[in-house]
Amino acid sequence: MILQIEQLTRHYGGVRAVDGVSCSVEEGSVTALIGPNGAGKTTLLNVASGVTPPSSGRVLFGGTDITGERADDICRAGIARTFQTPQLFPTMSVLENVLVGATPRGHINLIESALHLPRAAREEVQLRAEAIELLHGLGLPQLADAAVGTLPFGLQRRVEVARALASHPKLVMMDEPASGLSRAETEELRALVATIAGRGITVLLVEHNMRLVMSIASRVLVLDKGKLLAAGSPAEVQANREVQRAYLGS
Amino acid sequence: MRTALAILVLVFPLVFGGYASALHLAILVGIYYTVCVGLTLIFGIGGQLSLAPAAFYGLGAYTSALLAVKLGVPVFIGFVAAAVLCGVTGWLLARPLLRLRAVYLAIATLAFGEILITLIRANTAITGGSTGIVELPAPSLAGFSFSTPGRYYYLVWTLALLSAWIGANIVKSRLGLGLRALAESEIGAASCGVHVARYKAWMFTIGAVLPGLAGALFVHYLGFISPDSFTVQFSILIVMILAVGGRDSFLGALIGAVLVTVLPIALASYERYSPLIFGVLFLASVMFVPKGLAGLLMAAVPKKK
Amino acid sequence: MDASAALQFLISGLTIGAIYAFVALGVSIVYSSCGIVNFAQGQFVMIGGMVAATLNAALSWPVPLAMLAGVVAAAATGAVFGRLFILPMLAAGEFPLILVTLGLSVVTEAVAVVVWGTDPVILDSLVKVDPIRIHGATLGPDSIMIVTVILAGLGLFSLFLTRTRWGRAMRATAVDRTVAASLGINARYVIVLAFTLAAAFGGLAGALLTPLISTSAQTGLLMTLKGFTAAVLGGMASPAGAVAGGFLLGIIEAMASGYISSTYQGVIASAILILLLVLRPQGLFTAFARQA
Repeated sequence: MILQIEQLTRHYGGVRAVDGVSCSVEEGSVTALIGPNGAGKTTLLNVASGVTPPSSGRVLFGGTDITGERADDICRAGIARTFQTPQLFPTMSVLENVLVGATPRGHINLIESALHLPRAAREEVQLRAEAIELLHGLGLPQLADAAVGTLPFGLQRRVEVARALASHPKLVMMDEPASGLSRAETEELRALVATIAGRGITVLLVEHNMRLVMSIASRVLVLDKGKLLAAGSPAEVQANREVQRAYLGS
Repeated sequence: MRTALAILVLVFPLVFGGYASALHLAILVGIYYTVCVGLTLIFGIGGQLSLAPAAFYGLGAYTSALLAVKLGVPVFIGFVAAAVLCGVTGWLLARPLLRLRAVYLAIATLAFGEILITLIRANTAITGGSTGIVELPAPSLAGFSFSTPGRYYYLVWTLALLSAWIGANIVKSRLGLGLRALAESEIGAASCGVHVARYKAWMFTIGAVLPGLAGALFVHYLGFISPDSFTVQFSILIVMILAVGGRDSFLGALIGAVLVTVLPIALASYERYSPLIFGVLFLASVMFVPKGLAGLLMAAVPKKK
Repeated sequence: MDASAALQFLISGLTIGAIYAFVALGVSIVYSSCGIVNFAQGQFVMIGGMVAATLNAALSWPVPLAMLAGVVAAAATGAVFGRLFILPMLAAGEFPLILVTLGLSVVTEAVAVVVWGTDPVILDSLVKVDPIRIHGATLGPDSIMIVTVILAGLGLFSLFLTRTRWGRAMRATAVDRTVAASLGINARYVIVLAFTLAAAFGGLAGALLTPLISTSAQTGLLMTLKGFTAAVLGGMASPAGAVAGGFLLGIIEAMASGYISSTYQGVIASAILILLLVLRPQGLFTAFARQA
C-alpha cells in the first residue's frame, strides 16, 4: 500500500466533511475516488496533499507518517497533485511552470544559485532538458514558450499534469481532471492517465465521469457524506446496492 | 546588452571624470540601483509591496557609520557588519510579516521604518540625533583609500553590478521561478514543493541586505550621516523608481534610477515643481504604463528568436 | 497630582483620538468598498486643515465657514480621486490600486507644497470660552468641540448607513461585493461615494485639528499612518471598530507621551501595530488578514 488513510476526520465548524475514513491506495494502481457532490472527496485529497490539516486521523505514505505536514514537504516526499481549478502560474511559460514542478528535484542552495556556481549551472541545464523531454512525452513541446494563461482550458489541464510529473512523484493525485473538458479532450485524458500508469506511477483521481472511471480505474473508493461507503474493483462497486442508492438518491 | 552596460560603466569616469557633478550623479545612480535590485526581487518578482527599504538603508548606514566613528572599526568590516545585521533583521521580520496580505504588509513595513527613524532621532547620545554624525572616514582596503569620487565610483559600481548579477542569477534559478510562481498561486507553488515561507524570507533578506550595503556606501561617500536621508520619503522614491522604470526587470530599476537622479538636474530651473513632476510621472506610470519604461523599451525592440 | 495628570492625559488622548477616529473611519470606508488601503487618506486631512486655515487667514472667513469649506474641498478631492483614478484602475487588481493611492498621495502633497510652501499654519479656535478645570485637569473648549462634532458626525453617518438606500448599498458592498452586485448595487457608485465620504471625514478631522496643533502641507503621510494604525487596532473592515481604534490610539499615545516620553509615542503606536499584525493576523481580523 503506497497510501494509507486511517480514521481521517476533517471538520469545518460543525460540518464533518470527512468523517473517520480509513482506506488505502495500492502501489501501481489507478484508483478512483468517487461519490456524490459534497461527499468529501476534495477534502480528502487536500488533507492527503497537505493543503488542509486534518482534524484527527493519520495519513501514511509508503509507511511513513505524513499527517499534517506542509504541502511542499509532502510533494518532496513523492506526492504530486493537480487541482479542480488549475493552480497554474498564468504569466509564466509552459516550460517555466514545469520547471517549478521540478522544484523537489533541485538541490542547489541560495548561495550556489546567487553566485551561479558550476553545480547550479549544471543542475539548471539538466532540469531544463528533463522538462523539455517531459513536454515531448506529453505532446506539448511546441508550447514550451507560450504563456500558460493564454492556453485553452484543456491544454492548461495537461500542463498541470506535466508540472505534477516533473517532480518525479510516486503518486499523482488528480482532482476532477475531466471537468470542463470536451469529449475529445476526455479521450486524450484517458490516454494520458494510461501513460502515467504505464510509467509505474500510482494514480489517485477524484472523478464524476463514471464512464471514465470504469474504463481506467483498477480500484474504486466510494465516499458518501464524509464516510467510506465501498471499496473494490469497478465491477464490485457498480454492483453494490448502497452505492447505487447513494447515487440515485442524490 | 549586459556587456555594453559593463563597458559603459567602466569607461564613464574616463570620459566624464573631469565633470565632478557627472561623477557624483553616477555614484548616486549606482547606490539607488543597488537598493532597487534588492527591491525588484520583493516588488516585481515576488509581488509584495514593502515600504521598508528606507529602514534597511538607514540601518546599514548607521551600523557602518557608528562602528567606524565610535569603535574605529575599518569601514569595509563595517560594510560587512551592515550587510549581516540587515540580513538578520530582514530574515527575522520576514517570517511574521510576509504572512500578511499586501495591504497589511505595506502598513507593517511603513510602521517598521517609523520605529527605526524615531529611535535614531531620539538616541542623540549614540546617533547624534537629528544633526547626525560628521567626518565619517572613507573606506580603505590594504592601504588603498577610496577617498576620491573617481575611486568611490568604481567601488559603488562594483557592488551595483555584482548585485545585479546576483539578482539575475537568482531570478533565473529555481528560487526565482519559485518566487514568481508563488506570486501567482501560493497553493499551486506549495504543491510543487516550493517552501513558500522560506522563499519569501530569502527574498526579503536579500531585499534588506542590498539596501543596507547601499546605505553604508552612501554615507561614507558623503562623509556624514543624518536621519533625513532615511525617512519614508526614500522608500517612496524607490517605489517610484521601480514603477517608472519597470518593476519586473533589473533594467527597469536602472532606467528609473538614472531618471530620478538626472531629472532634478534637468528641471533645476523649475525646482519648485520638481516633486510635483515626479509625482505625476509616478502616477501616470502606474496607471498607463504598468511595465514601466523598460517595458516600453522591450516592446519596441523586437525579440530575437 | 497623579490622578489629575492621568485625567489630563485622558482628555488630550480622547481629543486627538476623536481626530484619529475620523481618519481611521475614512480608511475603513474605502477598505470596505474596494478592499484596498488608501495612502492618500492623510492628504484629505491636510487639505481640510490647510484650506480652512488659508481662508480664515487670507480672506478673513469666519472659522466655522472656513472649516466647512475645508471639508467641502477635501470631499471634492476625494470624489475626483475615486472617479478619475480609482475606478479606471479597478480591474488592475490590489497591488496597482495601492500604488495609485500612493501616487495620489505624493501628487497631492507636491501640489500643496507648491501652493502653500512648507510652513505650518494655525487656525483660531472654533469657540472662545475659558477652559474648564476638573480635578486639576484642564478641559479646553476645543476638546469639547472636537469630541462633540465627531460624535455628531458618527451619529449622522450611522443613520446614513442604516436608514438610506446608499448607506445600505455601502454596507452590502462591505459584506460581499459579488452579492451586492447581484442585488443591483452598482459597486462603482459605492466606491466613488466611499472616497467622497472618507475624504469629507478626513477633511473635517483636519479642519478641527488645525486649531489644536498646526498643520502643514507635509502632514498628510503622517496622518495616513495614524489612520492605518487606528484602523488596524480596531479592525479594518469595521467602521465602528476603526472609530474605537482611533480613540484607543489617541489614548495610548497620550499616556505614552505623558508617562514615558513624547519622543517615543510614535514608536509605541507603530510597535503595537506591528505586534497586532503579527500576533493576531486572525482573531480581530479573522477573515481577511490572511491570504486564503
